[in-house]
Amino acid sequence: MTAAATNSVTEPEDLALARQAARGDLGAFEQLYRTHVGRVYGLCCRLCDGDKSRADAATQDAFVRAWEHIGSFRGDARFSTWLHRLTVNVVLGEKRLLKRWVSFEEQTPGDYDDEDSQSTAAQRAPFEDVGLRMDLERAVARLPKGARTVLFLHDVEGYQHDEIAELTGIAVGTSKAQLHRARRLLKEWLQ
Amino acid sequence: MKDVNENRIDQTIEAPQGLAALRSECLPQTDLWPGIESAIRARRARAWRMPLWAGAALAASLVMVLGLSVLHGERRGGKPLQAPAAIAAAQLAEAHDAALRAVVNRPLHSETRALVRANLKIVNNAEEQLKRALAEDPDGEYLKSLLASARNQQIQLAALEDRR
Repeated sequence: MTAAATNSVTEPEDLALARQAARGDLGAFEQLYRTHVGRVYGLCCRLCDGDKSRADAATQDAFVRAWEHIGSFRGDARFSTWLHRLTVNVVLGEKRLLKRWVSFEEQTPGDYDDEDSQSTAAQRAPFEDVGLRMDLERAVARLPKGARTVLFLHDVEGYQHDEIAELTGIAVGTSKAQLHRARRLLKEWLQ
Repeated sequence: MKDVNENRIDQTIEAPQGLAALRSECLPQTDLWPGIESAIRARRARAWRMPLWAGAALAASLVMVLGLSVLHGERRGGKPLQAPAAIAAAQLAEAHDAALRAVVNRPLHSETRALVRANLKIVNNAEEQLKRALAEDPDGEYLKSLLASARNQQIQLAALEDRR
């Protein structure tokens, strides 16, 4: 993630807590959880299309996985960056979800049914309410799942294509093609 | 050529303005920590139960502590130490040390010597297993502490065995 490359200093408190947690201190790990749960949960909500129960489960899985692997956190990057990557990997990587989505989404977005978790708001025209964010949210929600996820990881979260490929198992070229598709559709809808 | 094409795809359309604002932070409606904590404790307990070396090391400690304590009690003519199955590890270690201190100060009975030898063999075996486990996981603090404990027991048992 670019954040990892641009900020090589780990916040001292996080690093200290992570080291304590690596020695088995569950209290220290709880402090890390309290500090970072908002960001992780927000990410999980986005990756789970706003499904709160799936986001809850994904958040729990991510923190349990973080506990299991916290010994591998060396402090080269910020703890939040490390945790963020791990969360993306837990939600999308293990089950190769993104790979499946992009494989099944070669149709046009209008062909998708409700299974694609499009909200009622998302199915309405994107410009009936004011506010760029609202428009964007709706337009993004209309995107096919695979294209939406790549757009989210690349343009919102700042991942590079090779990082998306590494975390989710799709090819770099697929990631680029999905991003291109997502931006093209957004541009059409937002014009 | 493929990469050039891919890069061109990437650059033809710019990201819409304001996408970064979609990055969100929100708290779950319920506190997820209790579930996370119980999952961690369950996994930790499972991890501690499973390794063979851990079982071997614990068995070695139990055999030695209980064996020496019982023999010590019998030789003194008193009641053998009756350790309940659920005795805590700390109490075992304490009993172990006390038994060793007592035995060190008196001549060894032939049966005791045989038991010491048998236990030394068990501890040596445990040490080998721990060394192999540590080779696979050099940073394992728990393994290191078990190895240190096994070596300490080796020294004490070897000293006992050397006594006449």
